[in-house]
Amino acid sequence: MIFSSWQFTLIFLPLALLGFFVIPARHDTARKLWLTAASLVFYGYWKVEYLSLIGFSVVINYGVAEAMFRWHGRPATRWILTGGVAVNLLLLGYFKYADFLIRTVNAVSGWEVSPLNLILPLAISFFTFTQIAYLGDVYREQARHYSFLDYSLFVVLFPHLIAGPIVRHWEIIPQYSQKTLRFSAADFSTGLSIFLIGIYKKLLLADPVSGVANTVFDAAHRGITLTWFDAWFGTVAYAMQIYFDFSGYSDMAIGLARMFSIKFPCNFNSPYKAESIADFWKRWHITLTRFFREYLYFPLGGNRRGLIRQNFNILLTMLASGLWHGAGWTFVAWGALHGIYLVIQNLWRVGLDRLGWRPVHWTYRIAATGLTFLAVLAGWVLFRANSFGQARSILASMVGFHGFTVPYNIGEARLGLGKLFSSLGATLAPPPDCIEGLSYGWSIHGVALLLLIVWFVPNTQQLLASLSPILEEVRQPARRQFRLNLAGGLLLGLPAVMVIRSFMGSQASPFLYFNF
Amino acid sequence: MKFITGILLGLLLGVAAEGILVGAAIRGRPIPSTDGLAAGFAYKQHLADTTQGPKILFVGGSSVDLGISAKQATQELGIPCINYGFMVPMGLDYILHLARKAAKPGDTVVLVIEYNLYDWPGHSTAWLDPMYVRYVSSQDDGYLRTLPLSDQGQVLSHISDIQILDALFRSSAKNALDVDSSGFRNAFGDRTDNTRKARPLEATWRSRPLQILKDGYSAHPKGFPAVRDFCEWAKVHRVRVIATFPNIASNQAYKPEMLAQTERRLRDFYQTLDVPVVGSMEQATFPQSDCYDTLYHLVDDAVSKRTIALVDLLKPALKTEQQPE
Repeated sequence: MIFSSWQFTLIFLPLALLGFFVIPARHDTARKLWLTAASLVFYGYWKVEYLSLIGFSVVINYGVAEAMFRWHGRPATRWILTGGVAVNLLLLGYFKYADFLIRTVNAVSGWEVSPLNLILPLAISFFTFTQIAYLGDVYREQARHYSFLDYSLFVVLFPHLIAGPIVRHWEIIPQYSQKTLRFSAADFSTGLSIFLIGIYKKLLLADPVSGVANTVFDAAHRGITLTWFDAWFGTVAYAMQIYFDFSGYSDMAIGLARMFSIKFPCNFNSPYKAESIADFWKRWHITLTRFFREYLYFPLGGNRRGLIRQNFNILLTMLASGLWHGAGWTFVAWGALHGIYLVIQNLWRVGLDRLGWRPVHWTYRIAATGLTFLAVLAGWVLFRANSFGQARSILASMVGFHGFTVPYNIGEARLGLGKLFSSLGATLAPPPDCIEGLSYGWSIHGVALLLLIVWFVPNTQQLLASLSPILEEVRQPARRQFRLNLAGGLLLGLPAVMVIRSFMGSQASPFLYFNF
Repeated sequence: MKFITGILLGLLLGVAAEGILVGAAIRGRPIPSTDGLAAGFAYKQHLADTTQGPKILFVGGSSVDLGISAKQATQELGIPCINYGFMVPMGLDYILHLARKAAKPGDTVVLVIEYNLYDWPGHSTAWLDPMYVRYVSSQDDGYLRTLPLSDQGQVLSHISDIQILDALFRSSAKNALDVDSSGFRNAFGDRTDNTRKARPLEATWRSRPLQILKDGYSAHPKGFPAVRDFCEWAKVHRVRVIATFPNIASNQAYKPEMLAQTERRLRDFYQTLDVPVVGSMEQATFPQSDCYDTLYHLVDDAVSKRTIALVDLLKPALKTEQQPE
């Protein structure tokens, strides 16, 4: 079930909310059972067979944690932890990486081992990491002992189950364990506002722009050499698609939880406004970055063992992040590229420190933001491409190796781009050299509008800062705050007609992060 | 409470604004980016309207448009023939609606319906193709009004944001859903650009198997009743109907028993309507190397072969006198 589908929005969610708040707060076990059951229905709706997988994972991890609680302080806990993490990684590895491994071995050795063709269980990367983090905290004696029901609900709670945020037990369990938890109109309204903003981002911004990205990347996949303009256009369109798709998803998850009076941590904070790659990773999929930092980068030694070791740790962490995102060498390369970016930035920072220069001028910051965005764009090409050949071809077109060319019909956009590029020395590519079916009519306006939004419009938590939308305090709240009054309702209600139209139209498109 | 009231009020206002917008500014307002399709359809209608005496209309989707040569059939049969092939995304109801407009008493309609058109699910979300919605809502409001209100609502609710922008700002931008073939047609309505020389080297649609021929028809396809209605209309209007199988690319994914089952089902269906069926599924199946860009489209020399074979099959059927009403 997808958050942006009518089945979820009009049937599942109202029922889940109704059941939760109709059960009196004093019967908190019944409430938690209801929410756990609802979450399992939500998961099972996708593939009922895999309910046993998530059930097995929850039971095993709870058992491992119990064993560690029992033998706290003894050397055995280290082995128990290792065993528990290994089971999690084996499960993830089998379902997500077995075919990747087989294909790689086949390619290297020339063998013809048949792939297993397993269907990737939805959310496996997320619930595996959530539970590894819990085991790590139990080992470090930073976790309380929870009942099986509390733990199960924490893992399967539907607002975060499918694609995060990767929440921590101490952030969530105390919230829904309060016996005083009652339906709060303010929380519901705040949650609904965040959820609506998220659904608008997904359906009205991300989905429409996906057509451009798909057309361009599919053309490159078919071996078509892209014009300079199309390569940039398609890549920027994809950057906008994944931004609004994931930002929309994160908003919806945070909003859904808030309807149940549960606050989630911030997961997305205007990443294209980042002034460096490190800053980008503090803003993009924040809870995943936090996981890798605390459970991989720090245990590797972080920055405590010298510059060389620190850079090695960064590279290794980003390689793991790339592999987590997808079982393919292009994802690994994407992770490696970001690792290299971070190493370069680290060295740059060390160099500046030695020179005693701390650039803060606005021109430097704008240039840094622009450069970071370009670096991220180059990464997205690898991330979205089906093969290195496709990525190479697109990147080559972007840097002008295939000429400074723009499509012959770019004038459709009526923005004077044809004349502008011609005056800059670009050549108009004839129809056979252009992508058939790629329309420039409104799509250029659309992509330009999205760029303006990501750079100049405050994000959801900044707009709703006065309503305390996330667990953390919001930094830099917007000057004009969204209010839960009639005007605010009108503002959020008006675009809902387009959501209803999309419910009546084609099937809801899944979120991009559902693949990871 | 005020906030929730505001949301509901906003929703109502949005619905009202959209209703006014679609009703007054979008519906029936031709947009330049459907002109190509409109020109192609109007040209075929013009051919049908201006042909003197009884004629033969080859009716279907693009397997007719790029699969049968009306010019060659005219030469072989000595009867004026018109290629009345449109596009599968336009749906069976609309294709048959166009055929009804073109056929006159004494004419013959050769139904060459694509296999998946029989499985047409009606005006449901499962089908409503963007090309159909865009075209019908902007260029053929007359047809739209003939549909039941629920179907009209379905079509109008599927109008895209891009179409709204196009209609409001009179955008002349081309659209991928607009097929402008006006430069590639002969005087019989045939497409002429599907030459072997121009055949695209890579076209995944040629080798993609048709789901219907792999899995069979769905439980309640609405294509069969639509064809039945058309045949009943034809009887009343003294239009002779002959059916045949559409040309299609061979594919190893098809199991012989499923193909045989499909052929039997179509033959049985037409038998209940007293409509003769000429040829066989096998006779209309071509190697993928003879296909132009999709599994239904043929290159010119294959079109020629296909037409000659079809004409030979049609000759005896055409000699049979039409049953009087």
